[in-house]
This record gives sequence, C-alpha cells and structure tokens, in this order.
Amino acid sequence: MTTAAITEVDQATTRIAVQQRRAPAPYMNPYLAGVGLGLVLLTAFITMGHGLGASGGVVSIVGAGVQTVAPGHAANSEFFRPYLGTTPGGTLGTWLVLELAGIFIGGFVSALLAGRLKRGITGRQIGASPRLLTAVAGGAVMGFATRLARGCTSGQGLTGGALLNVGSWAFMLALFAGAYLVAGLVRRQWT
Amino acid sequence: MINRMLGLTALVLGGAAVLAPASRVTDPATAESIPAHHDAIEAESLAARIMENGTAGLTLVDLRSQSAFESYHIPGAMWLGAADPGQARLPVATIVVLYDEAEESAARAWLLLKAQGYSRVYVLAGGLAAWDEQVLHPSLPPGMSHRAEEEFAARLERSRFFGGSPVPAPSRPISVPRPRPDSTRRDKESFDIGPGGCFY
Amino acid sequence: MDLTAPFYQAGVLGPRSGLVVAMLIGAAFGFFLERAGLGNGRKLASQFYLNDLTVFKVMFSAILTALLGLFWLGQAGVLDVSLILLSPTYLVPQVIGGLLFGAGFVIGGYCPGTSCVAAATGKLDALVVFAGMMAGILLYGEIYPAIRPFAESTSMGRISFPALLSVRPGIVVGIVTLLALGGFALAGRIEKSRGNRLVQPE
Repeated sequence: MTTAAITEVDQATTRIAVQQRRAPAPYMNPYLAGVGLGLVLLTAFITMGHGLGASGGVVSIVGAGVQTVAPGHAANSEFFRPYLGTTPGGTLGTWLVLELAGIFIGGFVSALLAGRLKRGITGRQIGASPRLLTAVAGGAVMGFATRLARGCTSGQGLTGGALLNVGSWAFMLALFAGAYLVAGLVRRQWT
Repeated sequence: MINRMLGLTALVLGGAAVLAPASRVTDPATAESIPAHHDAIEAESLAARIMENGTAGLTLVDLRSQSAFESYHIPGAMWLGAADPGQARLPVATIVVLYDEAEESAARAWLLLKAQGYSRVYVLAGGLAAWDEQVLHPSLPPGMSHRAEEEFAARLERSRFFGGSPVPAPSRPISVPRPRPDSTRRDKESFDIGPGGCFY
Repeated sequence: MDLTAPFYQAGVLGPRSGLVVAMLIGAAFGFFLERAGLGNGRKLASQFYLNDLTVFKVMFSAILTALLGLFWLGQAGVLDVSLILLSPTYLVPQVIGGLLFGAGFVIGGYCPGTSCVAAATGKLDALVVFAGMMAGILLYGEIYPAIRPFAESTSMGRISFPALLSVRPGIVVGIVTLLALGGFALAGRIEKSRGNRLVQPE
C-alpha cells in the first residue's frame, strides 16, 4: 500500500469516527422505555407512597416567584398561600420541585450519552418567532389547565392511570380528545 | 421479539390478576387500621403552648362531627366540614395539630397531609379524650403531697383557661360531652379505602 | 409477611432523605423520557397526526407496568396499597382541564415533564413552553377566587374504578391489561398503514 493510500484510509476512518460521534443514537424501543418509566413510577409508589408529578413543582416555583416579588400579595393569595412556607427546604424544598430538577438532569444525561444534545427550535418551519409564540401560548393554556385538572400527563396520566383513579382516566381521555380536535390548526408547524 | 415477550408477560400477569383473590389490604379490617407511624403532641404541652402564645403559629384542626365541634372544641380550632382533610388547604407555615375523639381519623389525616408535603403536622396524643382528662378535668389524687398540690393549682388554672372544670377526686368528668361513636369512622360508609385513599 | 412499604409512610424514610429520593426518581424519569424520544416536540406532536404513536405506547406501557407491579406487590403483602395517595376526583373541571391541556399540548408541543427534558437538551421552544406554563399557572392563581366554585364542583372524593364499580381490583387490572395490549397492536397497524413515518433523532 502506498503512503498516499494509507493517508486516505486514515482520513476516511477519522471522518467516520467524527460522524459516528456526531450522529445521534436512535431512540429506545418505546415499550422498553415504557417499562422503564413504569418501574420508576413503581419505585416512587414504594418509597414515597405517591406517584410522579411535574406541574405541581411548577406551582411551587411560581409561588416562590410571587413571594419574592410581592410577599404581601403572596401571603394573601388564596391559591399560592398553601404552597408557601416551611417545608424542610423552604417553598422550593418540596418533593415535586426536586423531582422536576431531577427530570431536567436525567433528560440532559440521557441526551448527552446518546449524542442528542442539540440547540435549536423544534417546529420552526413556520418561522422562529411564530413558533415561539405558539410555544408560549400553548404553554400558558396548558399551565392553566393543569391546575383545573390538578395534574398533568405525569401526575394524572401516569400516576392516576396506574392507580385506576377515575378523575385521571377522565382527564386522559379528554386530553387526547382536545389534542386531536386542535391538531388541525397547527398542522403546518409539525408536519 | 422483545415486544412479544413483554406483551406475553403483561397478558399473564393481567390475566392472573382477574383470578387472584381480593388482596388482604382491601379487607376493611386492615384498610382501616391506624397508620403505624405518626408524630404526636401531648395534650399538656399543647395546652401550655396555647396558654403562653395563643394559637399564633398553630393550626388546630377538629376532625369530629359538627355537633361535637359546636358543643366543645379546643379554643381556636377550626372545623373542616365534610371536607377530606387531605384536600384542605391549611397554612403550611404553621404547626398543624389534628385531633379527633381518640386518634384514629387524626392519624389518617396526618398521613394524608404528610404525603402532601406538610412538614410540621402533629396528632393530639390520645385525642380529645386525653385533652378532656389531662387538661379540662385534671383530678386530684387523694392524699397528695404539698408539692403536688402546687402543681395541681397550676392545672386548675389551665383547666379554667380552657373552660373545663377540675374534679377533686378521680371520677368521671361530666361537663364535656363524650365522643359519640358514630362520628369516629368518617369514611366507613363510603368504601373501604385506606388512609391514602388508594383501593386495590 | 409484614407490610413495609411505602417506606415514607412506614417511617423508614424521613422528610430530608425523601427529598434526595425525589431527585433520583426525577432523574430516572427524565432519563427514560429522553430515551424514548419524548424530548422531541415533533415526536410528541406526531401522536396527534397518527404518524408516530410513541406517546401512546410509552405512556400505556408505563401505566401497565406500574399497575401490574402495584397489584402483585399488594397481593404479595409487601406494599400496603391503601396508603398510596390517590388524588381526589372533580369530574367536570378535570374533563375541561383535560380538553384545554390537550389543546395546549399540541399547540406548544410539549407537556410539563417533557418540556423540561427538551429544554435540558437545548430546545429553546421547550424553555418558552415552560415559561408559558408558569404564566398560565400564575393567571390561574390570580383568578382563583373567581374560578374556585367551578374548580371544586362535581367532587367525587378519592375514588378508583374498582370502588366506583364495586368489583374486585383484579378484574379492572385484567380489563386494563387487555385494552392496553389491544391498543398496542392497533398502534402498530396504524403506524404501518401510514408508512412508518416515525420521527428519528435529528
């Protein structure tokens, strides 16, 4: 083999290696991931006696924010008052807030290991600014809805689903119905 | 392949569940048992605290029936109505003290509140029955020493503070209506749910 | 055998160690959400265009796993299921909440948990969804006195299907198992009929 050929092979191998490092790993089998999530949920039941949640932690964060900006207003708020106070770590030291922080960390680690960390905006084919507008609007409607429903896909969907909770199953059916009804309006963003 | 194995496992476990006998935790006798662990506060220390500072920083929750609450409650206590104590929005920043006639429904409410993240929740040890005996109607044992008499004087003061009537010798207190048994088991008629409310 | 779990209720776990456990559990939760691809807004939204039914598959296999686990641990006498917190049902507010939630989900592209995962992996829009969610919760908190009578209407207490239907829990567990497995088979056929347009990582 000539030196040139060796160099060429060398370069090709380097390129493949770089590509392999950059190419994101495929997603896990959804059923296996589901079983994994189910076992995490089961662990939560066994250790803490209650299931998972995500939106509940956000309420504590918002409550802490209101408390910082307007302490008097927070103390008088019928809604936020019960969330403020003296759990071992203050308003933010609750299970749900720490669990939320954990979700953030776990998601980051998984994406890091799989080469799926990538900055960007999803659904930006409608333009970045319109997309951020739909994001904030969708988020606001959803946030409002979590309080009416007393939970989200984690707290009602997964947790209440596994506990055969009547309200949770009603919530889940309504969730899918609502999403399928509205999906047509934002089709351009996603397909 | 993996999917089939998972599906088959689920089918076997789910099918067997249909045939499984009702589990023992759904047995009303066990499901209604008092949780093994809860934090309690003694009637005398609660009384001392209220006499010193009033109910500031305290949330006293009366879990008995409305008629029992109306005929007597610890001063400053609140009655939750028919509401599930686990759903009540109590001020988190205070020490919550729960009481009922004995300890049963208070212990269950303790569990519900703890599970919701309330950190300082206590059950009145022995319930209102203990409060009744130790605070409202302290009795004067016959033939007691001088020092005990002095202590008893303090107890008399405390008893009057809370509207009770001390009795000079061990006997049945009379002025406070005794708990009626019908109001102890609050959720019995609804279903045999445990303190967490989960049923299966 | 003595019932020893839930550990927190049994006093094995204190409030502080409970917080550490909560964080670890959250991390495992976030990990599996990302593994499944649920940190990708396009994959989540594809559920509602029937192109990629990963959301359904993951959600219901998780529910089924936890459901069967709870049932059989309870049967074995290891876990006192009656101590697990069941959140109370308010039927109409929860149905309205579900409809709004579904609408917000498909417009925003993420649900609360998955928005955290996606934000952690660098998606700006997910972070904006999270901010919007905080605004929505703030709004709810501000108008709460007005909305409270509705939010607390149609209260059914803490109730699960076995209690509602007065049947043995095992029967409901069996029915849910069959429904879920049937759903998985159907999901596979739908995806196939749409040409297996599954969303891949970018």
